[in-house]
Amino acid sequence: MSDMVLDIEGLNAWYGEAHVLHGMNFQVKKGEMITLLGRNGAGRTTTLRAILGLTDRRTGSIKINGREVSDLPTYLISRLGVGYCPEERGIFPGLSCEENLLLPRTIDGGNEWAMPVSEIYSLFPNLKERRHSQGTRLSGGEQQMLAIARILRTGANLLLLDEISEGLAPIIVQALVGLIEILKIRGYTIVMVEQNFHFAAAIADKFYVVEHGQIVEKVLREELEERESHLNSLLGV
Amino acid sequence: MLLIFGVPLQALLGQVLIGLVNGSFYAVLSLGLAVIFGMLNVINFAHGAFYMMGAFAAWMGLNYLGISYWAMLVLSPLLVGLIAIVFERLLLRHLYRLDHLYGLLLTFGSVLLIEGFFRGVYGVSGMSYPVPSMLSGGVDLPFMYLPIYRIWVIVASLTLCFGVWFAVEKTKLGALLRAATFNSKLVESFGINVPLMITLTFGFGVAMAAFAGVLAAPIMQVSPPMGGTIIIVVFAVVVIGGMGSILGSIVTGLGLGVLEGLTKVYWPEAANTVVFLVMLIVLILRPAGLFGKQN
Amino acid sequence: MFSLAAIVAISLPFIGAYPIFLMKVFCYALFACGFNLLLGYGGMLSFGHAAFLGGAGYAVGMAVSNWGWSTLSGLVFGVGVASFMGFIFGIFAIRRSGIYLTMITLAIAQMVYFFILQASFTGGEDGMQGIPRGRIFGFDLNNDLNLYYFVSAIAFLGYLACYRIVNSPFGAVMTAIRENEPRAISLGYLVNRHKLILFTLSAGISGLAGALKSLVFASVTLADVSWHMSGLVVLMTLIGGVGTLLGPVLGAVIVVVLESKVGDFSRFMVKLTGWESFQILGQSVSMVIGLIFVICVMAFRRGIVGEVKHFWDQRSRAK
Repeated sequence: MSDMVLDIEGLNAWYGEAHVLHGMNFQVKKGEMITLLGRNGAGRTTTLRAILGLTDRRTGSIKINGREVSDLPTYLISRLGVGYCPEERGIFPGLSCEENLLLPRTIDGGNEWAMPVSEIYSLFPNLKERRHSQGTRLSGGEQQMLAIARILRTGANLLLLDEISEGLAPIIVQALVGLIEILKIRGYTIVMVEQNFHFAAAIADKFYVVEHGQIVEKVLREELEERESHLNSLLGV
Repeated sequence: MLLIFGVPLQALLGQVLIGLVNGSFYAVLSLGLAVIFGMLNVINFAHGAFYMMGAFAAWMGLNYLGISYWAMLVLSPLLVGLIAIVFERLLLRHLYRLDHLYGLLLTFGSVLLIEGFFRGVYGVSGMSYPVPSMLSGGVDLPFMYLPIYRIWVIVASLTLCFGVWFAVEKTKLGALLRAATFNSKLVESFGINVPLMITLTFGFGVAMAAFAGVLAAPIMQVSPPMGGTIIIVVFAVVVIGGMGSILGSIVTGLGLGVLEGLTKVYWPEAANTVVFLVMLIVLILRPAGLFGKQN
Repeated sequence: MFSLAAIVAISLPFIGAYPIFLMKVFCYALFACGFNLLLGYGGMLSFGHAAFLGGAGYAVGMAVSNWGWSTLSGLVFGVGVASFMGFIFGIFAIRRSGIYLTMITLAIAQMVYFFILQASFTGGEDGMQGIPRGRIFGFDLNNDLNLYYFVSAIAFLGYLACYRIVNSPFGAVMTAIRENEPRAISLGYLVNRHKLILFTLSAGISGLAGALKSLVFASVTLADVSWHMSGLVVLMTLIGGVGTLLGPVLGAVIVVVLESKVGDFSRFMVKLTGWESFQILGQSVSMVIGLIFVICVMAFRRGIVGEVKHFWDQRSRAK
């Protein structure tokens, strides 16, 4: 089972008194890309946050590379190779683009996934150009690139991406597709939350529909065409 | 004799100097408060009590163990900082997930506890602490008398404040601190041990207060109530300056100290309350504080 | 419920309880009820309520001792002064929220403290002594028993006033504001006006307590306007239960008993453990208060009444 990067069983999570996740179950194999689909409030972002221990309370089992992490603090979970790109992007004001990029801790042990800054800049040339500008002065697309570049630098190989295409011009979204395809080829494991169905359909292997904090439908890439109308009705499109 | 608005220049400058000294304490204490508030979102009411403990540690060090002022300048902040770290780990951190008011209540209760304890043991009257010999005496200038110790206090305080400013604005550690102030959970998701950062930040902020306490020992009486009275003024300083910028806290603290000194000369009855008056004015004109950021 | 309490209150002096002690409890209870209006129902923590307690006390002292007013006029004046102060506090405090609001109340209260310390007519460090109790409705209040009935009656009325405020449309709006202010604003409520009114009411009721207290003890001192006193009322409310009507009353009883028994308690602890160091507890009421404060905040946030309520709620939910 060294193939299994992420193994979630019976995950329940709360924000304060609100019970958001009601028993999430799914597994992600190495190199796979899963998309969590669903309506707003279904619990997709909460799932990503729960993996890192960012919710108020959670029960259930979360295993990363076979290791149980549900009792670990967030920073230790992250050091196992988890990179999180939040919906709000989280670019820190008062820090330059480069300071934002260099902020996270690279994972120890000479991790082969960690991208040196030179490689980051060749992948993201406009970040290099804007590296001394204040982080929050970058355009939406550039901030999104920065948020992704930030976690690639650390050596994380399980990427949790939340709505990365949101609010971006179609041409930037296209560039993102290209980027994710490169990451896939390199073998990154990705769990993605996406509203933009077409964006997800272009790149993901599996599609899980989340409703009321549970997975109600699993669709493989091959089945996508024939199940499309069913999916649409589930998502209320 | 030169008179400025009816007051001799010597006396005026003397009060301005005292104002700068008080202002230095306000600056150091309000900076410590701001640093702690930025990271923990807790207003440390006990900041004044730790300042008092810093002064007492110096006094106890000298009178019980014969430890010099210079050694206590280092040891006192370390000791009091350590106590603060234990306090944070044991008590304060359990309140982070709750309404911020509980942190204030805990630190308030701690003031009563700490001050009460010291009052029980030492009473309310002040005890004196000698000015270290190397810093005693003064320089006789034509327009005023310049006590060396007071200059030392101002220089030491400003050096500390400047050091903190530099660390926060220009170093990688400072960048981490600024980021964590903005969104600590996100920084933690990047693998940074934020809980440890929080604990050390609290310890350091308190150590700053203790350092100010040691500086204060020779010029103010070392007494249990010394913390309570100064912290309320520091709160007003913080409301006036806003907690958004380090330089802002420094300038506000110094400026208000000088204002207080001038008020003592020209309108003595208002000297105790002029800082609060300024606070009321600022609240009407610029509620976020002079250097604050509108949330 | 009220009639039972009234009967108990009327009979208390006859079973040997000291009227002065009881009146102290009533005054503090009223003080805490007024404070809790602002905190428990308005969501605003004030660390300056002593300004209203002591301020009213000094106002009554001035009116009755220095200007020779009747007791009733003096009391009304005291409440008026406190209410006005509450209004002023409110104007400045509501310009910020949360922790800043608290710091502002503390700072303004400290201004009041220094003003009273330095003013010539307040007796400075000694405070005002020998305030005459006078007469009310023909009854001589120098008789402790008469005063007791008067004070307890007023305290009851004050408590009823709090009850009415909380259970009125105004109270409902305050609850809405406390729970979700942006929503209340979007619904068209004049939030600032409501907060200001609440500040004034809270100060007025606390002021009433202070006015009564100055008569009971025939004096008022700087301690009544100090931040320690402001902290004490916070503790009373916390122990009893924030946001409950009965909580502050209970908390006041506990704190007053505690204050008078600290000496006994420390002797008991010394006997129990043999540690001479417990002697120190007797020296400092502050320290014991602080200790209880810390314990309450860490482990006992709902306060006594709050815990009882929670317990009942759990039980009824389980059924």
